[in-house]
Amino acid sequence: MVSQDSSTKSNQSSFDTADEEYGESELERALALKAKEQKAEEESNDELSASALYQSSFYITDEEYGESEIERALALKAKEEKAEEETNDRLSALALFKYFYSTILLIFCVAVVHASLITEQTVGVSDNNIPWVAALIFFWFLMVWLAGE
Amino acid sequence: MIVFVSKVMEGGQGDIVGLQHIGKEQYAESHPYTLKNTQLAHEGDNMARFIVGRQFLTFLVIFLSNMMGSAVEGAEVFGLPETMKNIFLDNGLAMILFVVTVGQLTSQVNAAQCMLDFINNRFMLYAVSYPALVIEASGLLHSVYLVQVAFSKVAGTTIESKEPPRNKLQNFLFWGKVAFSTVILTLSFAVVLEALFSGKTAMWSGMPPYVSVIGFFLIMSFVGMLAGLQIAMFSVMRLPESEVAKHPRAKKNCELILAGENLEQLIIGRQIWVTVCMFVLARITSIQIDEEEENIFGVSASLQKFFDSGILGAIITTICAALAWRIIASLFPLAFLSNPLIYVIIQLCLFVASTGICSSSIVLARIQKKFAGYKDDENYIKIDDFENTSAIENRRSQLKRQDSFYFKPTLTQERRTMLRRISIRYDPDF
Repeated sequence: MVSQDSSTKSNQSSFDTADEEYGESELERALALKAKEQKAEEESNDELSASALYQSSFYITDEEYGESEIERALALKAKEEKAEEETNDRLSALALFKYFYSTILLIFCVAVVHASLITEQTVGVSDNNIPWVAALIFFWFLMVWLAGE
Repeated sequence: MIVFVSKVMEGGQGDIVGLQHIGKEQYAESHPYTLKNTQLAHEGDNMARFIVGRQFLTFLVIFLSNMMGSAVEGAEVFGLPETMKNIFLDNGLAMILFVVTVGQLTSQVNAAQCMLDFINNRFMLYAVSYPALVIEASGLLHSVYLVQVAFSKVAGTTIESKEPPRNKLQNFLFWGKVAFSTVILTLSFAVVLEALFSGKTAMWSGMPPYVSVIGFFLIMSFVGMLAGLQIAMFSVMRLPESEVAKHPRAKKNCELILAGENLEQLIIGRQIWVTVCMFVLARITSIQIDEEEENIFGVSASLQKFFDSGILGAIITTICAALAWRIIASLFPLAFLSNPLIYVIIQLCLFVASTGICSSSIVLARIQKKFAGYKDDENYIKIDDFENTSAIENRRSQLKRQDSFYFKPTLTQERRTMLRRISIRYDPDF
């Protein structure tokens, strides 16, 4: 995650590199760019770690802290991972429910629209005297056009 | 999954706009029809022309679908109870959900992920790109350029063009088309308003004429705000922070859009609302005259048939409910986002997206992708960041510092890809 964010910053920083920072040769120029990217990445890592620590500190109790810095960081990371997994599970269940009910609703809607077309109860068929087969074909042509554009 | 749901953007049009930023040599051999489409649309000022023509075609298709598929009053199917009949048949919910899901969102999900494969066919070239340009060239919609010129003068900006200045003949033709379009638009308004005031439209029965007229203008404004929203948003994101800070309401709206996954949800919700409103507008503006009733303005039966086709409503809505608002949003993005109604509209979009009512489009999109053999663009080309992506990220990072709890510290790879896709598919200039 950190590398993605930092890669953006490094992309931006590469554009920001001033002419005077470039060396004379291509190699020097590339090295200057790389050094600048590394610096930006380090800065980004520092900032993100501080941010993550700040957020997570709201959720960690004193008992969970280990004695050393490493234990404390590991506890934080484990807690974050667990919370993320729980959130993902909840979201997946909710998404699945949405897919299910929405698909059932769509099947119902498709059936209703086609039933009213075939029984000649739509505006096009009833009021404009268009044969229902022609109306059905034209209607699907419009759907394909809409989907294709 | 949520990221997948969020990949809903304008279909073929979004692809053509998005591919402006990709070198054509990368797909010239693998996707010949995509190349033809983009060469045509990216030549000179064709991109703007394509957007104008395609917008009209979309409205016209929706209007015709409404005419073909919407149920007549008192229709009965499957012995549905009265309440269900009211909701799904009389109010047209079945028709709206069908068209939004099957006709729009499904293909748009795939169009967003597989830009190159999606438009690599003759259909897009001959049934969409060329007709859109022909419609624009006909001058039917040229009054929108009058709006553009007028608002550019008010804003004190010049209209950018990739083409050399028009000569005298070209100028004469251009302004002739503008005049022709303005006359057509005025006549369309006259016919539709006369039909509304005399209760000769497909509007729900029992609705007083003045309510229909007020509703007509309100819904057009609502669609217009939805149409201009993402354009204003990207324009504002490119502005310096100090400039945005002078407009607290615009800043607040911008922050709301960028918070969490709101941007993705907003795009889905916006699409659903636009289509729903198009159906309502189609219903309001579709002229319906009983046999014993007199024609509008006493015109001949054949001309009345032309009025009944829905083309007049499509002209009005294309110009007044979509294109004009896009231009205004592009020229005055801060003023546009400072409108207090925009906040309400964003919340409405977020709400409708959160219900998941059109989530079946994701299921259908997966099936379509499998059968059509679409592959993600990353299989063929490299999509680099471009200024919109940077603008989103910069603005998010500024907000993140202000409220580090609300904004996640980093974006996942999926979200970054998605934001990149969103950002390249909207042209803030039109």
